[in-house]
Amino acid sequence: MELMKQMEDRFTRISELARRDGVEAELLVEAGESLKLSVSEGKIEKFDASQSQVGGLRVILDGVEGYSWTEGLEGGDLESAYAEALQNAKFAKRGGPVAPAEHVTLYSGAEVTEDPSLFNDSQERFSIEEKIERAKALEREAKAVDPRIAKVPYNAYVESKGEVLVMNTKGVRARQRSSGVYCYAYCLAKQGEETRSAGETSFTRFADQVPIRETAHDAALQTIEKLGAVSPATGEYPIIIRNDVAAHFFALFKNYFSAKAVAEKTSLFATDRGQHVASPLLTITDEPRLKDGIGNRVFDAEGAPTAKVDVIKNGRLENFLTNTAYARRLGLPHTASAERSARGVLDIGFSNLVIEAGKDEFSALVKRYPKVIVITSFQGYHAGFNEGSGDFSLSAEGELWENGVKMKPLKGFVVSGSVKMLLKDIEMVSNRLCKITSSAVAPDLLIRSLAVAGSA
Amino acid sequence: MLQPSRVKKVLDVALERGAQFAELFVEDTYSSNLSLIDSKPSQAVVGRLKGAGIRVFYGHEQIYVTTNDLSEVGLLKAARTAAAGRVGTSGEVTRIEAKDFSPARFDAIHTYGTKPWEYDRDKKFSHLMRMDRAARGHSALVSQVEPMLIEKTQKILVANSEGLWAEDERNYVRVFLDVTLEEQGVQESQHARAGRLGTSEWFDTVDFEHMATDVVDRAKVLLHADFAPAGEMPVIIDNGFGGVIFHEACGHGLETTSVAKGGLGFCGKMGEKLAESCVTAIADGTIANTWGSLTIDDEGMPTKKTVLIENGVLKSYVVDGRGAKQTGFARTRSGRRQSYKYAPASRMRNTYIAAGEDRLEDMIRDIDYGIYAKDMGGGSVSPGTGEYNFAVREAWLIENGKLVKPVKGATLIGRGIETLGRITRVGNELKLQDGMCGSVSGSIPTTVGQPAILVSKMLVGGR
Repeated sequence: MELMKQMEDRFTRISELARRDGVEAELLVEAGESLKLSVSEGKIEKFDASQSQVGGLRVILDGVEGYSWTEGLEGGDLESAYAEALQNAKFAKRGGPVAPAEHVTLYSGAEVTEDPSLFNDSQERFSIEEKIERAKALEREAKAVDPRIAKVPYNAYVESKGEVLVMNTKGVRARQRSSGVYCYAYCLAKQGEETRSAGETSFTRFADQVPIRETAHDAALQTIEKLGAVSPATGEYPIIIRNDVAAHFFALFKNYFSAKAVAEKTSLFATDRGQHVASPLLTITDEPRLKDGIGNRVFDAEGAPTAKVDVIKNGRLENFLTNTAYARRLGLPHTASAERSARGVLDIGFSNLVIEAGKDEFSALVKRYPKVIVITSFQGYHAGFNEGSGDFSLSAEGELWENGVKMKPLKGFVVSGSVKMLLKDIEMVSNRLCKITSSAVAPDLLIRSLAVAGSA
Repeated sequence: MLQPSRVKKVLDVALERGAQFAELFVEDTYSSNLSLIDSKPSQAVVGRLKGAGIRVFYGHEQIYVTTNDLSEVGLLKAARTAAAGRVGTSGEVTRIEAKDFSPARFDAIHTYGTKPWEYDRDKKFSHLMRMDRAARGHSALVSQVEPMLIEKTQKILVANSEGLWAEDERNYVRVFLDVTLEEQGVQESQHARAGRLGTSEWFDTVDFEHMATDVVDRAKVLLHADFAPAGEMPVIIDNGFGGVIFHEACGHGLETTSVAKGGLGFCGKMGEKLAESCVTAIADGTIANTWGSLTIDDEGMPTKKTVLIENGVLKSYVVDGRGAKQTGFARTRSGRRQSYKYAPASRMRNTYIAAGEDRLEDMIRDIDYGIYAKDMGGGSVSPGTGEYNFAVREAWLIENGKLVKPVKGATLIGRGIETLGRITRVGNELKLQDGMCGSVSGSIPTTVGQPAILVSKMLVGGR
């Protein structure tokens, strides 16, 4: 993109200012375009097209950071943003002298080569009429599955493409383009007075491979399967967290594995590196180059090249994720896990959180106990999770299985427990990983026992 | 922000494929976030959001295009993209032109003073340190304190093809405080929030020390609480942020974005008695300098006060311009959006259950076994079914008319319209609380509120 070339030129001026002021500076630019099409009763309900650009500046003065960002990217805008970031760095210095280990500095290293697999121009090969037809097909196909599908109130065909540039005054320059297409359908089924809802999402990097029909069908079938649901009796049950739900559930507390959370005393596992914190069946990795991964990145937000990191291996906590500052501060290996949006501050995060698949078939998990609840969705993740204590109490939907046979759908219940106990109580791990629809991937997990509150 | 002649040119291009309506929303927003962690500055971020959104309508079909490029070339390009979004028509189109603008004049409801860039950063640092010191000084169990000051100045222009030209400036200030306590390996966190539609000199009036010690005291309660019991029981939801359940489980169902889809159970219920006569609910954008207030909405309409439910009877939905066209109900001037990045949608403002007559003590006294939800956490609602879930941050077990012990980990679940029908008593002390509401048009400042209410039966998830 022309913009990125201009930004590289303008950063030359920022570098001059930084040299004059005796500071280090880093520029993160994000630019992109997106299109979202939603349909209601065969007509376009939402046609949103956006063009966006933002530059984020990080200035380091005597080891402390100040930030600013701007959506105006003309020469004067960027210089004003630099001045604000410098003022903020001076504000941050009010905390007093910085201990040598906490002295923040910029990453320096070789230029990283762009990953060509993350971007293609397939979106350009389809007309707007064809894209609208895809959005309409999502609704139409879902409704055609069963007359009890009353509506598809939330559906969309979403395209996006963008580019990220990281440059700093230590010579780092890293640039990556990416593109992708999402589609989702969220159905409402009616049977008498009862209404149930469910949805399905799909992602691909290729606009000619969007599984519209499959997504619509899966959404409709999942919704129909929920009809006739009852609330279970209150008690303790063995619980299977279905693979797609497990992926979202583990993403809820992934911050525990950040070195920043360790330093800020918000990680539940702050003192557990090298210890067995989970069942030996559990292995979690960060995989920045996962096949078909959504969170793939060849460099992190500081421009450092990425690689796979073992976080938990066979139940043992091997590594916390780090950026340059926290690797230095805590004396940990640098895992190149810096994360930052142009509008935010430097943080640490997973690229793709991957829970390794086990050896058992799903059918073996549901036969493990005479009666088991399979969780098909959790709601209210953030409200129902206490990050400080690791306790959770989540509204859920699911299925009751007895002796390996699905008996009935369940609704209106709450599952409670603690993350620490849950990790240790993983009794079986299935061999089927969920479809990739987010930057977390997981198999089905059988938990020995969790508290269930229902109204039966 | 822009010359009328340029705006008219942009709207005319947006209308060139036969749209019946075109609107331009332009925004220039300055924001500042400053925070501490470990008693030192943690985040110091200033941002400048600048862009425009162009909306056109073909009947009920809406096309929305955004751009950061506010030059004439950039805006015309976005307008052409919006016009080109209309496909499938053939032959001649009936083309209209944008009317000449007539600048709107509004009464000033809110007063503003010192802007965020005029207020000294040293003073902000001093306020943050006051919270940090007060919290740490109040208990040796405090392991972490994270105070934050947020400021935002948003300048907007709304102009449309019907001749509307409305400009406004909104200022927001907010304080966040998160505190973590640790005792024998057990951690518990609590937080406080306070915010208003106003400017930075408001910080000089906040009792930061009281805010900090109160949060620490509330976290201590959690540290020594048992887990909540599980099952169905009567629940008293206290005033203030307790109103989040009405907001999420009922308020969103009253928005025409939901009504038009037939969701959440409130569609087709206008004029019906949905609750006991003690329940009256209001959405009000006119309360001076209050977090969820406005002068004009994001469609350029002067804000107003709307009675949604009166003595249990549904009187009005929350209606924006598009919702009025889709449903035929009167516009309540409730078109709102986070920024130019979102098309406006029907959204709440200061939305609350009005005060009733009961005293909280009497409500507690009349319960044999139940829960008093003193402080609510967040929650969510399924837009299709209206089923909700909410975490209770601080709860107390009621036995034989008395509060016997604090309990934690309680989650309340149910269905909005059913819970509304189970409110049997409404307290006499209304309290409002600022919050952020996320929905189709982004995250916006809204106020929730209520007096204490008694719900005769709710499912409580605990252990």
